[in-house]
Amino acid sequence: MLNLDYFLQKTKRFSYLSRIDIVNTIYKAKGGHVGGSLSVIDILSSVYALKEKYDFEFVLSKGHCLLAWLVTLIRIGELDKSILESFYLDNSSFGGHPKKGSSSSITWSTGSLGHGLSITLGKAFASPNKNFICVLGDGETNEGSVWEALMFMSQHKLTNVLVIIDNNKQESLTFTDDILSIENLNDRLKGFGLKALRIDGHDHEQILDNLLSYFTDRDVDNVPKVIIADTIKGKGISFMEKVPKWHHRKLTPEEHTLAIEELTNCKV
Amino acid sequence: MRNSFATTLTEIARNDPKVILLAGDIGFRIFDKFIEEFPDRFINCGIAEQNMVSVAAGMASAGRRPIVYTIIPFLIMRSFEQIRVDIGINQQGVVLVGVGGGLAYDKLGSTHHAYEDIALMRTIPSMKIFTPIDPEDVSNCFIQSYNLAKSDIPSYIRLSKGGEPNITRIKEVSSNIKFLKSSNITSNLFITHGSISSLVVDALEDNKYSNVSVISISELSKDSLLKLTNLLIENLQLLKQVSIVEETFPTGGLHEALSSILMKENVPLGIKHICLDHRYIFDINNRVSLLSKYGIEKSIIQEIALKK
Repeated sequence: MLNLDYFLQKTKRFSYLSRIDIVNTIYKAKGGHVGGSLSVIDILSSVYALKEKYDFEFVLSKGHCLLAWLVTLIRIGELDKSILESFYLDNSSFGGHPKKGSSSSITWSTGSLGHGLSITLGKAFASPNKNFICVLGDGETNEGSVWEALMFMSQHKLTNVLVIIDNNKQESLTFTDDILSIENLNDRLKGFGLKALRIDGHDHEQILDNLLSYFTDRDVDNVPKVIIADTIKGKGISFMEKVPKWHHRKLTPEEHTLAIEELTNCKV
Repeated sequence: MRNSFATTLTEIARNDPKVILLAGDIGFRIFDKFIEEFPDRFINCGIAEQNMVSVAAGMASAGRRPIVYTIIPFLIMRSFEQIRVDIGINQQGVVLVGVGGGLAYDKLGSTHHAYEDIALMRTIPSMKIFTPIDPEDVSNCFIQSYNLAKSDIPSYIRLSKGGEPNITRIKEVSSNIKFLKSSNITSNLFITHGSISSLVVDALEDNKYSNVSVISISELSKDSLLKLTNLLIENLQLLKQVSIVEETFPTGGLHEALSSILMKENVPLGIKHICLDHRYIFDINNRVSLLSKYGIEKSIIQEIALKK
């Protein structure tokens, strides 16, 4: 029997530490994709909290949120925290987007949007017994190739892939609804023959529940699943939440102090 | 060329269960035999080439040997960024097989013509580009591609269409460099690649062109080009005139590739270029007529051949 409480505590702890690491690193690096990293971090924490129990290959299709992935890999001991000291600096091992082979979990170079899902599907087709998790952004669904991939996933019933859309409802300049809205995303996915599950992407319990049912019952109805995780861009820092300019930005010393203060107040 | 590709592919697939064919809803009947033998190893990916290319790259990374087949503009131009990122940057041994090189799809119009594919593929580091001259050469090129894929080296094979004749080889310098006329370099040399090679040989059939030599090169990467360059350097004193005939736009093809190597090596050799004009073609006409109207005319080749 899985001790859900243990994983829940672990996940919450991961998120708490990772948010602080993200903000400190972006402050030090003088810039970075802070908003999206903070929206996706609870998803990453939950996914990797289960790594000790379940095996999977992970593809971060929204590659610009690499920092959130790196701090998560630090949580599970795959990377040493010292890598954050040099993040994005000259001659660093880690730049703005995932580089294949830079860590054992990073098996694909992403950064251009609309590639990761197709890649994951190719891998999943070739390795039907392996689990795959692919995280996309909602803005990424602007890319037509994402819809090509979703059709392929449905057609070939690739239930060994779990897609999670970090639906933070913002893109680079403004809100997704004001660019190319996908707010009836559940229906769109259903129309594609996929099962859409809508959850709160910051509720660790909901995320864990859905991940566990993927790991334990992925083939139960032979329909591939897409989790639409409703999230908030900049989650955890009041002045960043839902404010478009925090897509990619550096922090002033005052903003940094304030951000860390807010995050530390939420200690778990 | 299509049938030769399908036959060689089927033979290779018999010995390697990892081989898998992805097609973009193209290839009516030519893969019947393959599908009959390996129904689970043929995927019609639909008219969704971007996804098809990335799926193939993902498969290659998981140990399969994907062969991706469709019409060139959709395989190469439509999916260029997928090729760049998922095959180039991520170093995957995918074999891209495009059909309709140059003006093979003559009457289907400019959307289906392939003028720019070689230029684009030359920009991808490590991409091997094969432009077989005839059905027999398709088999030779495909076997090389397949072997390269095992070492994670991607390749692109530019096929014409169907019905191309096999061309008589006078002498093979290597598997990708062949003499199609004369067995040695003469003062007036033509270099060609792809299925246009047969037009060059035909144009120079008459005895009055007996002092002309024709070499084909069916692989355009640096190694082959250097081999060809060395051949030219060895015969530099003898050479009075060199011409390249290729079914591409003037930009980014063999002519630019070879000229830049010669320049870098300080070899004082100018090369004439017989290729398609740098413009889209809107006439509805057969390939031979379009070729002759837009730059690749037999009489031009013959005129150059007569120059002493």
